[in-house]
Amino acid sequence: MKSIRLENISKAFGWIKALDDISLQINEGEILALLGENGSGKTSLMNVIAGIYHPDQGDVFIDDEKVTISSPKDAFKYKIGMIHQHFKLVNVFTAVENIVLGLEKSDYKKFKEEQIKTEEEFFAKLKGVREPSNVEVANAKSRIYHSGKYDLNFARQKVIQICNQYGFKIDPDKHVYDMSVSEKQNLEIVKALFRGVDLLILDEPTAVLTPQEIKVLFKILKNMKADGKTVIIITHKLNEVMEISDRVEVLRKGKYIGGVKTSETNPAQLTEMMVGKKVELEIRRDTPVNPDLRLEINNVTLVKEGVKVLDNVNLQVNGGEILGIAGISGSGQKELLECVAGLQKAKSGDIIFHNPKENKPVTFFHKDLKQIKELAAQGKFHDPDGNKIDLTGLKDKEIRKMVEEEKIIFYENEIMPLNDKTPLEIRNLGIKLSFVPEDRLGMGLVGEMNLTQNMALRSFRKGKGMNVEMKKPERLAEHIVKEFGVVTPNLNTPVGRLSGGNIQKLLVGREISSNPKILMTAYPVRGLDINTSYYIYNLLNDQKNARCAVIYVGEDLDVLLALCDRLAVIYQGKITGVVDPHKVTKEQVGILMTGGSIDA
Amino acid sequence: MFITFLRNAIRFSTIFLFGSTGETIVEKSGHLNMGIPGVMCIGALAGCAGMSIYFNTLTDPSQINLFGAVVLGILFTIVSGAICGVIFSFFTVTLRCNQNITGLTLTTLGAGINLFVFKRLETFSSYFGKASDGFRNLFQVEVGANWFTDVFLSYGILVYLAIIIAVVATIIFSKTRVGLNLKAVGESPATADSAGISVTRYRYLATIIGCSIASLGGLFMIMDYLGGNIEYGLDEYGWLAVAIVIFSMWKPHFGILASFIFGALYIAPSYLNASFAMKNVIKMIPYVVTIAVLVVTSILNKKGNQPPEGLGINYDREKR
Amino acid sequence: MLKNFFKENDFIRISRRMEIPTWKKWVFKIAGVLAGFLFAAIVVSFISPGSFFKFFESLIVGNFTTVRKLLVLFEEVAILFLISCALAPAFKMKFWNIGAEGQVLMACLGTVIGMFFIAPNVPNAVALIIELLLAVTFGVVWSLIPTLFKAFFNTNETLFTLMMNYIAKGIVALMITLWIKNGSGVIPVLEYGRLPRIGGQNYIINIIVAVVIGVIFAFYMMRSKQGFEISVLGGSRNTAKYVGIDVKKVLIRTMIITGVICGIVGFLLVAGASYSMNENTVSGRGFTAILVCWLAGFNIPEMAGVSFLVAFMKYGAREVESSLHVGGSFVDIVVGVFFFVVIASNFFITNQVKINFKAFKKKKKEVIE
Repeated sequence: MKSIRLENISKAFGWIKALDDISLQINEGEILALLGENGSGKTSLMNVIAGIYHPDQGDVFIDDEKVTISSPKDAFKYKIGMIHQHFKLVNVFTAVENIVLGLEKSDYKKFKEEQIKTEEEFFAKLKGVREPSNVEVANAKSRIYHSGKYDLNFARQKVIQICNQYGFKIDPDKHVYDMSVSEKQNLEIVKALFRGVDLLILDEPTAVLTPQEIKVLFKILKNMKADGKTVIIITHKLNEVMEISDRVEVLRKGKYIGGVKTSETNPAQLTEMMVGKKVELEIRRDTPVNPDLRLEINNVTLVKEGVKVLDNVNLQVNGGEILGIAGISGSGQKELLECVAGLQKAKSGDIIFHNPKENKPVTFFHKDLKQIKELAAQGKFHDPDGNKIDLTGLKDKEIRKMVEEEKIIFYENEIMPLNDKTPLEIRNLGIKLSFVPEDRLGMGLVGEMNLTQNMALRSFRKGKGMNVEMKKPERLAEHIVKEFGVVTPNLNTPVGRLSGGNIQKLLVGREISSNPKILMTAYPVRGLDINTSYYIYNLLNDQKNARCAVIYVGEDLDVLLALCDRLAVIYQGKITGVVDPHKVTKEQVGILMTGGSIDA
Repeated sequence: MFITFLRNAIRFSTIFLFGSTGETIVEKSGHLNMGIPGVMCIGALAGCAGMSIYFNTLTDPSQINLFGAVVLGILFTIVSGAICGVIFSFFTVTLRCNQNITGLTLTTLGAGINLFVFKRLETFSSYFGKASDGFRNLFQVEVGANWFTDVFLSYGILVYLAIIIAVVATIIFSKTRVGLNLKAVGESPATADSAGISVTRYRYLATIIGCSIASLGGLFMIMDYLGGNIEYGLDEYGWLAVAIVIFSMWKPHFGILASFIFGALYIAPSYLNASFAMKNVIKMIPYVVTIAVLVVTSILNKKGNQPPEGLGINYDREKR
Repeated sequence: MLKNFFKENDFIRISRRMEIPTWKKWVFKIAGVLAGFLFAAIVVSFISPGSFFKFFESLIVGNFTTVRKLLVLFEEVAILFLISCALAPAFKMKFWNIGAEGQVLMACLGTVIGMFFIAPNVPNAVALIIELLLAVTFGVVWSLIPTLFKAFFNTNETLFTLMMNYIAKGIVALMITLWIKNGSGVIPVLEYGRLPRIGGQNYIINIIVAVVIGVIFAFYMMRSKQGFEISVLGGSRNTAKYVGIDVKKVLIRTMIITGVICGIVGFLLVAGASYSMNENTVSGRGFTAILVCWLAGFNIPEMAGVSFLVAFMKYGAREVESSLHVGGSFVDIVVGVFFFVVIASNFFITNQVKINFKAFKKKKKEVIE
């Protein structure tokens, strides 16, 4: 295949125009970066070439011949293969089974013919030079054992050959459910190479890899290019574009903006093409003022199905700071946050919340009369002059008056253990803990419910009586829509219909609306465009300035190093290091992410 | 006496074996077909209806060509099962309706059509009685000679067919390309689709073949086991067959054993000298055993014995 | 190949709808129902030639021509509606309880125990209270058993509840054998412990109860905190846990409600209608209610409407059956066909079908040339 040309491709989903009259060309033997923000149409466009989407209008030309690629099978016929962000693998199958899945009888016959041809060529070359040795003849005979029928042994051999050729490490008989993320990705690439693709499309391949694994992947891609293959890499990461690609094509909001040679451009220019205007690429990071201890995680261990998902984790999170957590996907970050939130129960260890109450008056919002009396008996309060308060013998009415006049004041911060508490119990204790989970629609919101109902998720138990009070949630929804610029037809739209960025704005908005003392976020800007991402970074900074303790679990090391005040790295459930983002390098973090250690 | 019990248990288990093998094939492709009881009913009546067309040309049961009757019955049954498979697939794959609802509607319809048509076929009841000899005896080797022939060689064709089909199904699942593709369709249709496997085609074909096999269970019950007694409700057996699919962990060769156990339990009351009340209790045992199996397998939860991941979920390629 | 025809050519384009205005949705729903009636009539005219219009006539005659028939119709509506109400909260939580048949049957058994053993010896009002309590207890026990296993061991509830249906039938058969010593296998119509008749008719209380419960339930599901919890749980299990909803607790609580309502239905069926029971007292309405509930989208008012349609259809078909002497589960066929058509019409609500007439003309031209 010498070239692929797309002409005037358009596709719409409902009222959203994903692709708008796009024309571009891909040439043989180049590594092309398809660049654009989240939601710009990159994946959709490649899905057209890969046979998953049908364009509403427009044509695809391969080597100047018009073709219709109506299914992934068709794409293979044209030697095009695509590796998606969400791997298309069957979990219970082994690597080999996944690789041969979908091969037809004709494919097996073709393999046999290729094998025979290779052997014939080998012997033809020898003719006239020398006689083949007995060993060589025997070897050739044994190589043409393949019967031309469904045969896993043959596949195994070919897989090993491909791995050796390009530099992969794959165990053919390993089950997918036992594989790591980068092993699965390698499997996907080998799957495509097995079918003899000439054009390989990778959709955001580096999102799930450590810096070291990214290096290995890029080396493999360069090997493939040397072998005459063409690679398209869909990405929004500028530094990778600069590092690996020969050419860049930029999409924005479904339209084709332009293409440049990588050697002739720079990140600033590319960003301007992606976003449409000059963007300040600096993430604002205010200096923390008097960070105070907010959350202690001491020797926490969590065991799931016999595996230590969290192994003796020790961490401190301070109010007024953003603590970042970096790590390969599946190292335990998710479980750590869920443990703190009360969604998982730790096997051992303590999670202690320091409720900032020093010199603050108690209010009925946080504690009821009985709790106030109990705490007073424990000597937790003082009066405005600093003297100890004794509430014994006082009537309830008198105590109420004192609370309203703000005369009952905390001596010091409250220490509240969180382990073994359910999310409901944590709420009822008055601990303001907010959590923006990785899975927005699957955990943070209910897709079928509308905006108002989703805002009621946190507050629906409030109020006397059996019915849910919807007025406050409705006002909250209105407020968030206005403040954060959420795009929605109205408040009654099911949130599942909104775009990713708007969903996240709703979720983050709801979580910070309660003025939390701890805010935990997992991959909060995943899938969001640049503007929304920076909006969220600023929100987190604002929270930090409001004395909230922010935990930021992320995958983009550049963002982590620019945004956080301290950075913890987790690997296989252990904290391998807590470093200073101002001083540490990305490579050092990469080492920590794979369990190594660095000199402090 | 025990030999008779064993023999009848194996015979009875055939209805379960057809049903569970058929439904296993269907479920491997990702369809949870709650219409299997309806399919079995329709299978029975289609076979009988087909045979009655032939009987209509005769004046007396003794004129029946047994071989022809058997072939006719099996043919009509299989076709009716296939049609049920087409209907189910059409509603779930093409029209994208909920699988449970489609299945339940099919069962309701099947049970209803069953009794209705059989009332119409009452005039042929003596013919059915004679024809059942064909199903029972035509391929028999010998009966009554010794215990070995009784236990292994004295069955009607459908019994042997059920076992052969179960074994063939297992081989296809584990050793062939088509089997691998089918498993993929059931586990992860998105993966199968991107590998170039037509999820639609596999689901349609698996459902059609599976329902055809299951429908033979209904025919067997009426024509072999019951000796041509056409007024009989078949739903219960269909549900137990669905339970056996789980019990056998979606492996048809286990299904052979499981069907036998259920068959034995089901007919045990008639072989025991117990009061009428006790017999009622024993009749409940297969259901209790099924529940026990359900509970135990859910507690144990081993990885290789789970249902196909995509079971019960319709596949939509363009779902974002 | 036929499937490819739908996807890849230019004649018919099928695409998933993003959203649909409410009025359009109702147009399709009503069209579906009318189509259902039409197809049922067509099926009837196949079975009994020439009776196409007779079918529609029978629909009216079978349902509306006497007071008794009206009462019978609304009693059926009440029963179907109540069982659907019992199923709705569980289904909304994606807990597929198909054991309503057995749960109601066990409740009937409890009622009969009260009527048979206790009612002759106490004042009627007391007997009624005891019967109701027994019915509810039996219903709750039967619905809780599969629930507890699901809550603690994640045992598949579809098959479990299904098996419980058959065990219930077996228990009822057993009890009848034990109690009725004369071996007739039939419980006689019981004299004591009956619900009072209003105006000489015995279904009126049932119908009133159905309406009252329906209204209460509608408010419960749509406005209350517990109803909200059920909606959240049905939308996303993880989200429910995330906001602190105790999944096990809500599941058990909801299934207790199911058991209670099934208990009430059992009580009404025995003490308010037939004053006796056998294995077939529920006669498949537990299963039909599943379809009703689902078709109505678990929405209480719609469930009332669908229950009415089904009952209406059923008695109309029964009238055809008797007047045309067709016999034998004719009713099930008609109801089955009706359901299939309505389900199919759902397709048009979730998908948009565009027919490209220009392409037809082009193809016709090509063929001619």
